[in-house]
Amino acid sequence: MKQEHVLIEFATKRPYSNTPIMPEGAIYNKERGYWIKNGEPLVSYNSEYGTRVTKKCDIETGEDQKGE
Amino acid sequence: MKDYILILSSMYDFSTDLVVQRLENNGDAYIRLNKEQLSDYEIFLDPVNAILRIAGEHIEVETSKIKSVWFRQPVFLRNTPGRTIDINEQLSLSQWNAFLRGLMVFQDAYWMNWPQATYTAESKPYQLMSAKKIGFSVPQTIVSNSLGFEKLSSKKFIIKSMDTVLLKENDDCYFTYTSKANPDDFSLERTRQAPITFQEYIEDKLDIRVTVIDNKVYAVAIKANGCAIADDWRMQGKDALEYIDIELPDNVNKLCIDYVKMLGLKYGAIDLIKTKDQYVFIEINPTGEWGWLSNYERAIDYEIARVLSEAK
Repeated sequence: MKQEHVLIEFATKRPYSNTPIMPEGAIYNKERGYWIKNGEPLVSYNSEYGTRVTKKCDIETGEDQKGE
Repeated sequence: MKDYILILSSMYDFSTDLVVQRLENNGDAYIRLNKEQLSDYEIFLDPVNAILRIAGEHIEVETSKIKSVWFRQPVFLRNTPGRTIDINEQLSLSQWNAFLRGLMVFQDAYWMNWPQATYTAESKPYQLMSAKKIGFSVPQTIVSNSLGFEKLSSKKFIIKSMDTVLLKENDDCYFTYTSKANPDDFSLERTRQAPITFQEYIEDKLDIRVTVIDNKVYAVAIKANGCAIADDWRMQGKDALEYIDIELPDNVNKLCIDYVKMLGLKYGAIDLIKTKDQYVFIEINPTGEWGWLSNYERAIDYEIARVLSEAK
């Protein structure tokens, strides 16, 4: 039986989707250049999701912005 | 004519939202281009005269006056895809990627970061060599597609990838964190296919993230439930993580600033480990994430917006 490479053996496997699942009602406002929910910024210090909206929406692609 | 701030990002790069809101509140003229939406606009670039024109439903801009560029390095195709992509998508991915690099014609603008510097600084072996050269302590490291751990002085070691491992297979993806490993985990059959970074394991470590923006430094220790984390902290439940502001010794603080400058960067996210009284350089991410660290007292978004705005 073929053995996988160590970096694959040590990998965490999980379901993947190409785009994050966004909170319901969140809309990207092209004119302003950021996400809005209920008329307020989705990502801000005092929003429902705070600055760590990525806790809800992110796909782990490494410590950079190189995810596809 | 207005001086524009150009932001090259992804619509799912949520941290960018924080900076854009700051710019909006400042009344700055900014353009955020997301890799997913480039085809929604009509875009013209005159490379010889460095003129950019963007037309779309909410925008009509033609300018040669771009004072700063925030290059969040939106990559279009990370690894060989786990799905079939048709020729139209292949074309779009490759050509937009090259187009964004082509915006280097605005070379007189303030770039955070200049793409060439970003690409150079992403090389982990280069990072380590240059960190050692400038005066950081660095862990003993061997990159090999063989039994590299045999070349380390330390019996305990970790492995990590040369570049982010994000592999897709059907509806799943594989992501590899830095992992502690044992010699028993290895055989030539399980290493030959791709190089691995083997690194001495540092005992009693405290993870420190240093975010450098020009001469400004934010240093944060990362703990879980009040304790240092033995493994890759990203494997911890996020709710358990704590980010504690710390002050680096002056010499380490200066090293971080000088190192980012040496690499030709304006922004860098450096990972250090503190062990006993020693600070050890682990790596730098020239486009490393920071949104998870930003708050009212540690307003990294403010600082990024400020330097983009004040650039001349």
